[in-house]
Parts: sequence; C-alpha cells; structure tokens
Amino acid sequence: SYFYLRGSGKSKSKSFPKSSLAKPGLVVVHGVGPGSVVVNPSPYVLKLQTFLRMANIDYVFDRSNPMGRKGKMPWIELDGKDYCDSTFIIEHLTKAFNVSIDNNLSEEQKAISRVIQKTLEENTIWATIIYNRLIQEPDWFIKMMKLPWFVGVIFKLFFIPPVKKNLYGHGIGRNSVEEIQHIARGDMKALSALLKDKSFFLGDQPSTIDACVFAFTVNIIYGLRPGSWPNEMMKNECPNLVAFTNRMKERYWPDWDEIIAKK
Amino acid sequence: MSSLFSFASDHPIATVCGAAAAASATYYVLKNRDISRPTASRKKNYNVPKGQVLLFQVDRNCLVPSLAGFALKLETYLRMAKIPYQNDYSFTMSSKGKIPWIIVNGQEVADSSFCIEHLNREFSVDLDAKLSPNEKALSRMMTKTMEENTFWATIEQTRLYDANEEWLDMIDVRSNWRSFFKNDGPRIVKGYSWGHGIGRHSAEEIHNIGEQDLRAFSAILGDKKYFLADTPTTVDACMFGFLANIFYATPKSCYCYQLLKTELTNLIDYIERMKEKFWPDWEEITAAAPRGSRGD
Repeated sequence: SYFYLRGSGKSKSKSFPKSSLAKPGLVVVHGVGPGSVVVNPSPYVLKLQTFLRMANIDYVFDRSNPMGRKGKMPWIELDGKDYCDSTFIIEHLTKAFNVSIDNNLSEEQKAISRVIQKTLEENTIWATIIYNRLIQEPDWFIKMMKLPWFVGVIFKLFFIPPVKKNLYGHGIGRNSVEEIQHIARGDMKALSALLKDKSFFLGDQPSTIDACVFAFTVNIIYGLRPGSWPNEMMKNECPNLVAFTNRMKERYWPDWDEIIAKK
Repeated sequence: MSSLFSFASDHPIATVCGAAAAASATYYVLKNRDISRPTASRKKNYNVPKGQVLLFQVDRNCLVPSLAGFALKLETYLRMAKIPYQNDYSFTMSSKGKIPWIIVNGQEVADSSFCIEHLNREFSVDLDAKLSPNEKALSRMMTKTMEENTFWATIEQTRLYDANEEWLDMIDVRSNWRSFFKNDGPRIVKGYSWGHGIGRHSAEEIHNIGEQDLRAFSAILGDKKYFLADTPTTVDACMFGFLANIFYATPKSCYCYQLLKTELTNLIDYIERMKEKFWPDWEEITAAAPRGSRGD
C-alpha cells in the first residue's frame, strides 16, 4: 500500500524487531493503528484482520514497527518468523492453520475470486482510496487519523510526493481526474454486478474474497470524506455493495465502534 | 582549492549562479537519462482519412506482430470490430508518454482501453452486446488483472530481469532497440514496478503471482472456445494480446512459458485459435519484420 519508507526495500537481513506481544502460535499483525472512523485505513491490513476473524485464528495487533521488510504493511510475526504481503500471508496461514473457508469453491470460483482481488488491489485502490485520500484530500485523512499537526506536515512533505511518483509509475497517474473517476466507476459497477443480489460474492457463505472486498468497500464508505466523489459514487450507484459492507461489518466487526473510539 | 575559494569570495554572485547552473544541469541530465529510447517526435499533421484509424505502436517483430501487449490487444480489437486502420511504427509516444494510441476523425485518444471505448462509440460497435451484466463484469475484472498484474509478473519480469539476454537474442531487433532493452529499459521499468508495488517482491514471489493469475485464466476458459461466449468478445482481444506475447515472445526457459507448455495447454489452444481467426497474415508479417541480425 502507500505507507512506505524507501530505504527498507528487498532487505536481505534475517532479523526483524520482535514484538513484546508474541506468543507461540499467536499471529502478531503489524500496521498503523485504527482511524477515528475506520478500524484500519489500509485495505490490506483490514483484509488480513477480517480474514483472521473469519478463520477464527487468534491474533493481536501491534502498532509498533508498522512497516515490514518490504517497507509495507501489513506484516506478521508467527513463531519467530516474519511474513510480508497480505496475500502471501493469507496463503501461508490458510495452509498453516488448515483454514477451510474456501474448500467448497470450484476452480472457476477460485479463479473469479482471484481476478476480483487483483482488480481491487492493483487498480481500484489507486483510482479511489489512494488518489482521493492522499492526492486530492490529504488534510481530511490527516485529521481522521488524528495525527498531530507537525506529523501532518511531515506526511505531506515526505510521504505524499513518492505516492504521486508511484501513481505515475503504475500508469494510472497519467490520466486526468475525469478519466480516473471513469476508471473507478467501471470497477465499482463491475463489482456491484458480480455481487448482484447475493449475500456474499460466491454464494450464501462468506469466503476469503469477501474479506478482501469488504476491506476496500468499507474504506471507501467509512474511510473517505463523506461527500467525496468515491464515497458518493459507491453510496449512490452501488447500493448492494453498501448493504454487503454493512452485513460484513456487523458479522465480523461487532466491536467496530469500540475500536475506533479507543484512539 | 585555495584559488577556488579566493575566486568564490571575490565573485560570490557568479559562484552561486555557476553552482546553481551546474546543479540544474546535473539534475536535468539524470532525470532524462532515458532519452536513449528510440522514439520519434510528433509530426504537425497526420492527414488521417475520415473513417479510418491511425494506430501508433512499435515495429513489427519476427516472433509476434507486436511485442507490446497493449498494442497487440488494440490491433486485434480493430480486426475483430472490422474497423479500417493503418499503422504508424515510428514509436511516437502519446500525450501520456505511452503506446499504443490512435488518431481517428480528427481526435487523439491515448490508453488502449479508452481507445476501445471511444471506437465503440465512433463506429457503433459493441462486441459485448450478447454478454450478461455478470459476464461484462467478469470481462472487466479479467482485463484489469491481466493489464495491472499479470503483465508485470510475466512479460516485464521475464523479459527484462529473469532472462534478458535470452530474450534479446530471440527478438532479434535493431541494435538501437537492443541497446535500449538491455540498458535503459530495465532501469526505467524497475522504477515503475517499485511504484506499482510488485517490484518489491523477490523473483520467486513474482513468479508465484504470475503463475496464480495464469492458472485462474486457464480455469475461467476451461474447455470453451473463447473466454465468455461462443464468439470472441472484447476480453479476447486483451487476453490474446498478452497471452500471445507470453507464449511467442518471452524466454522459453522462463516459468510462464513453461507453465503454458506443460500444464495450461487450453491457453495454447486458445492462442492458436485466435491467431488463425484474426491474424491469418501472422507468418507474412513476422517474416517481413525488421531484424538486427540481417542488419535491417
């Protein structure tokens, strides 16, 4: 995602700062903490946390050392080892803990799940969350995360310019605002059409893809300024995604309000 | 050194201006290191006949009509939609600094997906008319996955990093292009892929990403002739553009070619089916393509 420190790239060092909360068999999730309106502003961290709840895997959240060895979050510690990248982490934990939530899916359903995930994570996130939150309205985000004013200044001076560069490198940043909105609308409408009137993306029961989609849609609906264009677009044009988001939020995050109030 | 100091103290303004000029020049040169890319500048007029498309892309190649997946996608779409077009191979970049792009009926459009949307409107084409909303959504998701993920993990990764020399030998391009693909190309793309995110992974992890995407595409295709219907739709132009480039023009020792050859053979059948249908002149085109080894 977008929080990174350029220096900590493909580190070859074997050591990492071990958490004081670590216990055998316990997953320690690292990332930045909750926002004042959303349990985690990073859809990748929230996807992982939601997956852990879905799979009934014990975990704790540690806000110290939020960046892993690739300079990104989330990363986890488990039994003395560290793992980076939310997708790789979920794959590893699925094997390590024998998670069965996707066992009933056909190969084709798993494939559909893959293309939904990649679209959200490699396209939609840039057009909506990254673009609106960091390029168009960073002040709202700084306020939402309750960052002190000087941290806000540092954030705008040092963290946001690399994001602009990343947007350009990715390709999407070469487009005009209207074109970016057009791309976002295309993705949102496709997501809405794939869900249709189902409770979850692949049927009556939730699967891993629902954790992934939820983490994105909840960050658009609750994690962007109300009235901002991606927020309005999803609320007005994709009501079934709003209903899905609230359904998942109630089911897996009954303590949502408690968590965001804590900060 | 002492003479420099005395010069500086005698001529402070000149020194500061000189230092600023040297710093700016250095910055400018470093920033524009990729001017070795053999691109052409835009002409003033292109005089494109009305009702015809001028498609700007890279040169033909001996392995594949276009080494650029996005260009092969767009050109395949033009053939599918039976839209008359001409090619401009000068490698003139679009307003967004990329290819392919088009000029049609006095308008310029950049970005292959925006081009397709524009051409659908301009020529009243709808290759996806028979698809359900669910299928159209899947078409979108597959296109985005291929273009924003698989493309990086397969084509860019294997050609520029895993087996660059092997790739340069097989594509047999002119020496200026060979030099660009060997030196500046990998450096520029490394910057892009770092920004994208995928460039932070190890080669093994990137292979894993590409493999999972290709397996997903194979599972969605199954034993069907085309991805979403009995006749080709827009997504087939995209999938063919990239899969053909993986199969015909990435190093054969690399994981993605091997995966298609040994396991995902339905994708090979699909590529050959699309090639026969939309590129009957494939052999003719590739045989006539410029070659470094011939001194073209």
